[in-house]
Amino acid sequence: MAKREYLKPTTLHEAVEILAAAPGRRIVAGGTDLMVYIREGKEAPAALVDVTAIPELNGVQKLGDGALAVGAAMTHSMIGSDPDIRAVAPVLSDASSSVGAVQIRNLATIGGNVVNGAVAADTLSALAVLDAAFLTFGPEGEKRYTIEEFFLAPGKTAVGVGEVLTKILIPAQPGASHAFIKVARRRAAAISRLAVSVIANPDGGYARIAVGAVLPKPGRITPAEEALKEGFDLAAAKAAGEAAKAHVLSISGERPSMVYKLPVVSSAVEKAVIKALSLREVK
Amino acid sequence: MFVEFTLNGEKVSAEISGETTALALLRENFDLIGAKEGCGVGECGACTILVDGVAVNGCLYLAGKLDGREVVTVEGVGGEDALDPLQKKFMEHGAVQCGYCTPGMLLSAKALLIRNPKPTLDEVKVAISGNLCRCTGYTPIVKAIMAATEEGK
Repeated sequence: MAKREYLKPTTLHEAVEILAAAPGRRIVAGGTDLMVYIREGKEAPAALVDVTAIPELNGVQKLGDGALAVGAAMTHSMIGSDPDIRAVAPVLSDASSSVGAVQIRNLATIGGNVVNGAVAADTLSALAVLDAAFLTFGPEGEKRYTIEEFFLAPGKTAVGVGEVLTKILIPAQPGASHAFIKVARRRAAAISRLAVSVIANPDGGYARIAVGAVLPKPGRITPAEEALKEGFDLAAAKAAGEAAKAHVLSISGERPSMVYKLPVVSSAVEKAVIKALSLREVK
Repeated sequence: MFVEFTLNGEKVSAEISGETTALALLRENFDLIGAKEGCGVGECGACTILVDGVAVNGCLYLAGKLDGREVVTVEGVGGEDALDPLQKKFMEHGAVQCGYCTPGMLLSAKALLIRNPKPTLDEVKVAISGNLCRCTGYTPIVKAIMAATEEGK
């Protein structure tokens, strides 16, 4: 293998300068995806730029309005055990806790999950229902993206070359109940076949539902949300599941795997809603 | 890049290149061959090492990240004259057959017990869920870890 440089900037400005200084330099945080790509020959960056030592990318800040700014270099273990995140966004705590196994959660970061934009990334459905936004820093300074602006296509995000994802902004969710469900072949170290995130607030009259791994990019399923708002009860939960199934079919189309996926989508969405609203016990 | 870190209690340093993994560095520069490469992509846990007390996949962990950190491999746990309670219980319960997964299993268990000295059965199973064993079987391994926790009570 060619000798690659390993660079570790300690400020955002330094990181942006280093990234711009030569072509083919690649940001790395946990490296749990990138190291596999390098091993497989899918990526051959000229240098690795480790962004985990940059203060802005670490820790959780509480913002004035009850919102949180989560550092992009926080690992899934840190997110899963952070009390402030658990209080505001339990759906994200649970999604991060479902990523890989312990060793992966101790390495892999939320920023990596977001920036790689893999359709099966475990946290993306959670970030969609939380209505999260993304802050980056690049040659043109700070930028803010909504989730719709951020994800363009499978594996493709709006983050430009030389731009660093710094924070994930999570608005306060007063009075809402959360649930996250993941379906995978093996509980540890398996990529999602399906992930479902639900936030529901019957008193506020709103519901947000998103599924991961069966759609080309993360996003909410409005028809399922509308169905749930009809009553926030068991019948509405079932209707939400059916609406989610129809939506997935309309976007992803008939393909052989749908024979398995569609019934799983409807039942997992129904189950996640029942879990969020504690309509009955869910295993 | 030049990295300095603590390895099984001793200060060490090494010159590395960008894509060097912690696993390659430990095995090739320091002759610590307890951590193994199984799958090489972070799914089997045979390469598990402790960095600052938490378990990570050595095959994915970039050596450049080791600078200033504390690394423990299986060679730094117990020793022939003073076995760790986990090592004793692995022997007593026959939790070692071919041995390939054993260093990783021991270190995942060690990381759990550092944080949680009296784990439940489920917590033990979650802690080793990133470690695949294909011959011993998980039952004796889980029993050994549970026994080691009782030892500590």
